[in-house]
Amino acid sequence: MGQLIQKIEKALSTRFARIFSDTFTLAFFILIIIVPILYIFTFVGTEWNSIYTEIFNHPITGDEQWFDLTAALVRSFEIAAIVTVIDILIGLPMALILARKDFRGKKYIDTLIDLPLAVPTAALGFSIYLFWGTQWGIGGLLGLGGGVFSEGPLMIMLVHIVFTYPYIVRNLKEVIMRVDRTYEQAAQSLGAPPFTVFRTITGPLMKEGLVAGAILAFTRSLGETGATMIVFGVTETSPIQIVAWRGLGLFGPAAFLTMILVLVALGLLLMLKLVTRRVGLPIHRVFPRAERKLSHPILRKSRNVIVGLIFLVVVILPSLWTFVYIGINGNAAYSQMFLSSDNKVAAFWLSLMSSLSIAGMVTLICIILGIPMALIMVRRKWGKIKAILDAMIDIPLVIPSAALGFSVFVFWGTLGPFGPGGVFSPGYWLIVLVHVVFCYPYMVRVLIPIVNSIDPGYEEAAMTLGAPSFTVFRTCTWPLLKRGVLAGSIITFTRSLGETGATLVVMGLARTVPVLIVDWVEAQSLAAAAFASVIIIIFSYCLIFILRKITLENE
Amino acid sequence: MSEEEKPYVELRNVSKSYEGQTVLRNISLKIPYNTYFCICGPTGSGKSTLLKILAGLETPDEGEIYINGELVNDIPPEDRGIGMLFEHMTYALFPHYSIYENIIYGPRVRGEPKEIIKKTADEMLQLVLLSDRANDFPDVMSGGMKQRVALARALMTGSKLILLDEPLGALDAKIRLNLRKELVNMVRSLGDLTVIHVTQDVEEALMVSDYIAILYFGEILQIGTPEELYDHPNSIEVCNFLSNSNFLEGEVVRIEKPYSIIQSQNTMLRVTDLSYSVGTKVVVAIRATDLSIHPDNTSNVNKLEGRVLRRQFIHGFMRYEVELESKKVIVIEVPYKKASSFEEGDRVSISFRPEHTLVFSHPGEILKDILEV
Repeated sequence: MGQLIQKIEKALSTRFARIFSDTFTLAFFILIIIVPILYIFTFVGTEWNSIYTEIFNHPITGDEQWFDLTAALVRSFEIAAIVTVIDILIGLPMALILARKDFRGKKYIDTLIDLPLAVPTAALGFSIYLFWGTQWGIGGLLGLGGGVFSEGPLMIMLVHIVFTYPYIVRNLKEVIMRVDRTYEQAAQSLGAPPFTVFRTITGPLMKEGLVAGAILAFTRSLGETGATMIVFGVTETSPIQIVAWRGLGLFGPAAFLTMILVLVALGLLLMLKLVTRRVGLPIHRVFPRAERKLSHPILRKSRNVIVGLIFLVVVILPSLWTFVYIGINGNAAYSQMFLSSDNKVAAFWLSLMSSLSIAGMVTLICIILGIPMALIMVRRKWGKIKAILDAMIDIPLVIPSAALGFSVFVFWGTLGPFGPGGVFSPGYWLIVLVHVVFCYPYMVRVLIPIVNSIDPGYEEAAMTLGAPSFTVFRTCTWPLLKRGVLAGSIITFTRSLGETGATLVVMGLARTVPVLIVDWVEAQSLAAAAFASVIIIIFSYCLIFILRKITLENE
Repeated sequence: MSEEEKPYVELRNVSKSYEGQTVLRNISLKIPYNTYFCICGPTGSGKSTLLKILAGLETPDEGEIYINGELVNDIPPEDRGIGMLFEHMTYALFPHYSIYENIIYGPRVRGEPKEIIKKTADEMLQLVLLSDRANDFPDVMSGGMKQRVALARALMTGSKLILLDEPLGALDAKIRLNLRKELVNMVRSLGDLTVIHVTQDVEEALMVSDYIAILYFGEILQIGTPEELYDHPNSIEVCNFLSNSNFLEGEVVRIEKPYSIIQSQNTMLRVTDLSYSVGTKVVVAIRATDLSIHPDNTSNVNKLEGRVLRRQFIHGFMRYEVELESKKVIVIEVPYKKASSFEEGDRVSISFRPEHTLVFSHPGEILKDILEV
């Protein structure tokens, strides 16, 4: 037995096996992840005449589609821009506090910040909707008959702020912690008050990270579907429009919009890679009086209090409000779930099972194909090719998932290059395929720094001791990589579990929990939606808890 | 230091602990105006924390800090008027500002008038010989230049108190020596500055300072001029920290003026210190450089016999480790001369003069534990 394993590992270590595995990994990456996304350009190109007619010159609606499209696009951009600005305004002070101050309870705040990260955005959006938009939320507490805000752009923004907040804070905190503290101390000892220190020293030294964080938050807001579905009212954003047009069978306009969103995303990615370094901040002027006033301890204390309050009222309370709602409306939830004629409990059970099975399958595929990719990215010396691969990996991260879903749907379906038969029709496997596309970068991005941190010395030592390269991987690399794979798996799993937009486009008759929540909210079965949310939220929190335990132990 | 000198910097009963671990215990310290003061101690002795407390970058749990007679505990670092030099790698020169902008950072953020800033900066650049490099950025400067820029930057605020946090860190020996010389010359030539320099390098401290405070596990063991400390260390720890010494345990058996006779194992040692009465357990310290080594059977006072265990070259010196019969190893450093050198395994006798000894009362613990840092 032992000898057999040895033989197999020897065979797997040959040059041929290595070339085969590299080729397979790259082929998968190109054909499954990248080509379906870019296929949308071909599709729009070949179908241009009919798409043009549908959008600009329809016999009945005229150019109404174009009008709707641009309106939604502009609105999406406006919302994303405002959300990003507010995010930075409230996220930067929080990141500064977490990175540079020590206080009791810091650990708990740090954990709380991650809360919205793991929860499916549909459940999150629903919770926030309950908090701001119904009589069971803040409106009720204030004695109003209904909510404080109604569905629409304002509530979309509130929702987007909540779910991008953890991204911004995490990102900025990491970036600030990378700035050497002695620079700040030197500035302070030279007479700079805290505000000046931040503006002239910390700020400029972290600007690349700041810009990168802002662009990521922007793309997240631009592409969000699940939570937006619940609170959009009548103001459509672009991702929602894609879902709606897809639902109505208006493939032409949907494809055109998808193409625009992919282009925008690629542009943003290019900006992220190229332009961030050149952003200038005004560091050559100083306003001693004003900045000294801004650094006053009272102002700083009140800033901290405000940051804390905003975090509590805008982020934490609304994201946990479903629990309060269930507490109040337990009976309604029970009767809607278990006593209604359409047997919601069975539907929920079915969707939970397919959610878990999809997420599990997606995670498995990402592990198997993500590890060799991470190894390639770190260990192979391919120069330029690697730089291109490195940029391509991030593409699915910045594209709105509904657009991603639509282009994958077009590629594999009846409209694609495989002819009228198509390869996959909407349903379980197409959902898995789409989820793999946008989860894969997460897995690879988590693994790369971990592979990087593994000292090649161990592997070289093992090789000099006579181990073939596959054995080296199994005995030296894998044990060190394990935790990273686990962390990456949990992120992949929760991302897949929480996805709405892409799923809506490719699901066919299958249902996942986030989709079910959106359905039930639309049908005004709030109590049942709350029940489903609570279950999925608890599930996600457990995952986040495990994730934190793993990553903290790693440190 | 004499009593009439008014302290420029004073710490009274300063204590600090992190997460239950005491870093500084009840430190009191007076530093007179216009002196070069070193705080010297091994890694983890709390010396950097002490400096940060002075600068206001850390707050003490207890105690008061006075600068120029003023209580500064509640004054934030930016208002303390202190110049600080950071560790040698970057000297914390701001990488995104040019040399000129680095230098004018202090007065600029204090809102001083532009013309005055420019004039002072030009003078300062001339003083540190960097007038032609004003528009360069720190990353293209050599270590020595960076050090000068850092010093100029610290001095631009008109500060009379300069704090140096291991500015020469772990540089290699030659560069370190040059930079040290340059730093001290520069500081001395600038006139009435009070410098507090933190270092773990004894040689550096002995070389540059007017006064040295020895800090050990959060406590100050001794303060004095380099000569005072070297000649009269007040404890085994200070003696061990300042020089490479041998310690022999023994007991005073009789007094034969001008010598005390101390029995160590079965050897009788003569020392000139008469302050210990007969019967006291003591430790006799002899510096490695105060010992001489001879061929076996040379007769001498304070003679110990043994076998050369190992020999090593240490810059111009030959260092012998000699094992006595009692298995105790004695370290000897003598200038290397080919004619009078010994091989490993040679039987030798070693000796020292009675006046080259330091006697401490025995701490009562196992000596080895104290000497291990």
